[in-house]
Amino acid sequence: MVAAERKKWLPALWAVLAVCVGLSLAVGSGAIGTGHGKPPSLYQRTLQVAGEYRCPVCAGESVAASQAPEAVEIRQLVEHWLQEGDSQATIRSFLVHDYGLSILERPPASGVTVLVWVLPVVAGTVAITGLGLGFVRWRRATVLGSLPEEGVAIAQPTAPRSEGGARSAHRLRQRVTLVAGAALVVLAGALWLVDRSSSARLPGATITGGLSGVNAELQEASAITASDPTEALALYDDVLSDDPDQPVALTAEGWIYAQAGVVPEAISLLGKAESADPGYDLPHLYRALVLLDDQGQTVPAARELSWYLAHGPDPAMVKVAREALAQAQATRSQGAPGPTNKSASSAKKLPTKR
Amino acid sequence: MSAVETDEAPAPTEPRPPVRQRPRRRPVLWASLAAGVVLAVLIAVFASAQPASEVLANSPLLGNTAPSISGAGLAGGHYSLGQFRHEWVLVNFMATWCEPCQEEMPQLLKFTKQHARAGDATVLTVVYDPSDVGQLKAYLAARSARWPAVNDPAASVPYGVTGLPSSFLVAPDGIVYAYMPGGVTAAELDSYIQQGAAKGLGPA
Amino acid sequence: MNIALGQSALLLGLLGALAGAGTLLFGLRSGRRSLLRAGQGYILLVVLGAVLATVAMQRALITHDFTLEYVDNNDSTFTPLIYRITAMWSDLAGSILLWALVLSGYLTAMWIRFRKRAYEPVIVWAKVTGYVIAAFFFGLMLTLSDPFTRVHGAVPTQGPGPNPLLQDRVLVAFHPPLLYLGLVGFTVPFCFAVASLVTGQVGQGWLFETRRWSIFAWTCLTAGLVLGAWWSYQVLGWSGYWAWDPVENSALLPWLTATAFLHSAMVQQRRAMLRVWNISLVLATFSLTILGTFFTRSGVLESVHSFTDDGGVGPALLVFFGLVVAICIGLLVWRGDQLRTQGAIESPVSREGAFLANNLLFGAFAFVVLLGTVFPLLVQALNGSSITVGGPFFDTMTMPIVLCLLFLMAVAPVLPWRRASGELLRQRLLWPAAGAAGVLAGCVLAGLRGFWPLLVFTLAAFAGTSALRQLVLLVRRAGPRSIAGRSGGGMIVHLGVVLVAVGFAASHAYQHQTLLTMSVGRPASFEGHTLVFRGTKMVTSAGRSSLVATIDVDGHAYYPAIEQFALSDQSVVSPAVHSTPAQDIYLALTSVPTAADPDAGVAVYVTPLVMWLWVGGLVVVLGALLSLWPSGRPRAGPAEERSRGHAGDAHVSYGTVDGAEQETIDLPEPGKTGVGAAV
Repeated sequence: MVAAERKKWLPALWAVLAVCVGLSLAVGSGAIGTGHGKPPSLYQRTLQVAGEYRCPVCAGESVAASQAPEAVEIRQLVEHWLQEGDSQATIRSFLVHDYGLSILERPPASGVTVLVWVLPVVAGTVAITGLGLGFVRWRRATVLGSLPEEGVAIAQPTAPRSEGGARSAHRLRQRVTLVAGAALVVLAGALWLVDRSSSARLPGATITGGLSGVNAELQEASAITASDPTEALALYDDVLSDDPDQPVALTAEGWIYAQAGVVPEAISLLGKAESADPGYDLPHLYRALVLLDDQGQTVPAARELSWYLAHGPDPAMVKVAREALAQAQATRSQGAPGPTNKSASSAKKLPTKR
Repeated sequence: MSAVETDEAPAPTEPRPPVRQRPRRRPVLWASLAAGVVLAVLIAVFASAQPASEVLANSPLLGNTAPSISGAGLAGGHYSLGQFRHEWVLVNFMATWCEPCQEEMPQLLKFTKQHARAGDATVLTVVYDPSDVGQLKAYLAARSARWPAVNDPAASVPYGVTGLPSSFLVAPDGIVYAYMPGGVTAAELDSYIQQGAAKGLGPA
Repeated sequence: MNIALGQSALLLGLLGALAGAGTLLFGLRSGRRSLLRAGQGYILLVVLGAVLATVAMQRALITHDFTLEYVDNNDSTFTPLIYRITAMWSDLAGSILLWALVLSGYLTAMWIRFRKRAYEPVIVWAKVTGYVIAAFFFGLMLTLSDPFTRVHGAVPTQGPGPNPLLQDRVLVAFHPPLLYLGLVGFTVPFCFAVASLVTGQVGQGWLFETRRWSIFAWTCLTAGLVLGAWWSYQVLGWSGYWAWDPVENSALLPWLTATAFLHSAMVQQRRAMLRVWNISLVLATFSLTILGTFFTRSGVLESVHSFTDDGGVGPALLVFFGLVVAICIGLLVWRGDQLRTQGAIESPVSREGAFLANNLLFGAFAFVVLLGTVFPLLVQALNGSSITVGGPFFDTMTMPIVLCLLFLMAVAPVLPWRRASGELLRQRLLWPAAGAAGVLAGCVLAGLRGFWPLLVFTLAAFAGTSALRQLVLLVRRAGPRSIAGRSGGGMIVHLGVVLVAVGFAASHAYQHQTLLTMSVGRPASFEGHTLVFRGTKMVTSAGRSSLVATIDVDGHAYYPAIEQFALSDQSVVSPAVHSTPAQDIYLALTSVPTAADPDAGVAVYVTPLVMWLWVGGLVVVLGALLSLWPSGRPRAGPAEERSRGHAGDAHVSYGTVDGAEQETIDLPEPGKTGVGAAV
């Protein structure tokens, strides 16, 4: 009696509970905190940001956790940058610029490392699909009565039935083809994902690794650019022979030519880099500097510089770009061809930030 | 209390049950083989892996301007990297509590002695650990290390130091020419300098 | 003398293992029972060898016998006795000795337990496998990683002592042995799994035999992991307890597959299904323990906890791992499809479905942890670049899995076998849902904010109330003594896991920390507590000198310190922790006052509910021990169930107990095998 009454109220009770939970979660969502209303202190924010970076000299501790001298230095720098108002992305670019990608605790989702994020999701999907298919098959089999309800060892047929044999052999082939096809699709998808995000430019001008060795070549070329530009050019040419639209190689070659004084070649390469990758900011900056320096074309230079400054510039180059822009505008207003600006043209590609 | 197996081998002398006819669909076989392939690949990767401590990272600084260093000199005065623009500088991060740093010291002494006359190369020791300043000063003095040592621990960050000792050979034009983690030898340094000279990077 | 004793003991162990394996194999081939019996007796030689070697090592450590290189590297005249004893496992060679000792102990216990059935092929093959594994470890010690090597040249009079971090707490005496009892303990189920595959007797027998062994090993491993986390927390100075470090992950991986196995074994008992899953999980657990020893000892992954490898132990362990994997895969390929049963799990909403989902979730968990741990090596091999996969990755990827597991923990105990109706679930889950809603509302009203922590609390309350409900029903039906037993113990374990989950979420989400520069006598306040720095003093004791600061927190004194060990350059931060059930106040000295700067730098962490982690771990261990308790109730096997019909499952009126709630603990009585036991 009591049970029947309770049964009547059940749906209502569940509805109440659902509403209660939904409401509470809605109210409770928001910045994580214990509701005392205080915003996190600078120290807390520093530790939160620092926790995303690995202590470079420790075995496996984060910068937030480690007491090693260098970790302490990095924490002090992070605090300083946070005080100056730098965003987390900017801080990330500074640290990656100094240490390379291995300082990130969370592997970047680009290049081959995207697999570490994607594979678990793929495995999970495969598992759930397999489970679902299994349940469907089981359900069908039990309903049709072809399977006993208790676990029984597979009955051993004395000889395969001929007509059943042909049908099931065909079904087996179908299944194998299906599975092999699905596996190929997944593999192709993963490879495409990896390739698409390889050789991407990350903040700090580091290039993610892909399946090819482009990254290594680009790094090697970049390392010897200052000391041996001819050799660097040869390496970049190698890269471009495989991939004529590699924006980083095009830009670097353009800059080498610009420094060597071969201006038309420089401008054409930089233009190609811009069209190959419209989102890449460096070619715009270099092109602007070349235009300003050697050809005194202040109007297009100013345009490029404005574009550069508006599109998330490398924080280290902001000062240079602003100076050049100011100079271009000043020269334009004076109406005379721009004089060469030694400071802008002697700016190297990757100045450091302290 | 044994769980009775109803399929015990019929003859006690036969250690294995009679061979059964295999069922036609064999998912376990394929799954196991697939797992085996994956594991074989993993084992190959592990076998070819170097110990983590020996993996040399490439410095992102190579070919770029050496980050600035400035601070009080351990033996007095004030030093900055920019002062040494006219010569090769070996920026050397070290601490007294680091054994390989101590092992490297004789090589540094040899290197500076060789280049003292020509005046084209010097070592610049950078204090890595702020609490090590006093000990490092005494250490260098005890070994008659006459090259400049500067107290700028914060420089380890822009230089991306990942272990001690770490050395960066900076060319006279201020570009980082070579990165040598884990200890240098005088011969290695000389060969780098010769290479650089051949490319026209001699002291200005 | 110690060297001679030790090395000959190791040799004895190796020969005993080889002789035992050989005799047994020969006995199987020829069918001579005397050989089978004798072969199993050789285990006494093995265990004698291990014990004598341990005695030799301990003697050398305690008496400062510096003729041993191992003692020279890990002992000093200043080291207190307890740390001299534990120095046996502070370094690589000694740790393998401990492994061999524990392994011999388990194999001896196996021999004693199954003495009366010495002629059954499964037992014999299990022993053979055990002997081979023991032979490997003894052989490793005799060749590549000899703890009894002699020092070259003059015998030193002093050594550096063990690593200072390992001399800080007495926990070093408990954590590694417990961990090894757990990891090595999974060798026994593995031996039985291999034996049953080799002999083709793949029914439920081996599962029943080794259930208690598996639970015991699992309990020890859990205790070892929790102690390790507690130790890290007390010592490492950053108020953290789990860093997803490769060595920590190595110990977690077998725990995950073992947990999955313990659950899914119940499906095999009840319905003789998921046999391939169970065998695979047992094989995987052992393989993962070997992989774990490889990671810890080979140095390919950087870790605070890894041993340094000078002698090529890494490659040997990798080869052994390869052999183990090859044998497992080979056996599965050969016999695996004979394992499969034709039973069906016809409804995903059923106890079997829940356990199957449980297997998948733990499998996914293990996959994520393994992938994250080895990914840097893969990338290094592929294109040479070095990347890090750190804590934040694991936290992000495992969080959804843990949430699903909490949900499953709530729902699975109320699910009946075979199938459940929505109505059934709605009735049974009403109280748990109410508990969850109540806890959530309470948290929100108390001012807690943040979607993910609140979700964890809700699901944890859901699971906790469900476990409590099961316990209440159990006690109501069968009296308070029924808590001891598989079902009761299991629910207590779930309660413990709920506590751990809540502690984990709260301590991660709601921690407050700051860095205070404290002058003597001037109070500072943080998070409602007043802190006053009273001064520092130097304390010297045997082998160490500490700079101890006195800090009053709300009137009580705490002593964070920085310790310097004799003969070591390393200084260790020794934090002071004030633990209450509500929150922990954690103090770590970051900069010592000097003459020039008399202020002390103190890092203060106020973390809620940390104690729940340790209490939860204790509850888990207690629950597991309770579940080992034999219960006198007969098992309702498949035959019984069929005779009762399915009425008990299909309709339920609220409050009555049906077949699903009944205990099925003990081994089946002879003869009551039912169809399910057939192979």
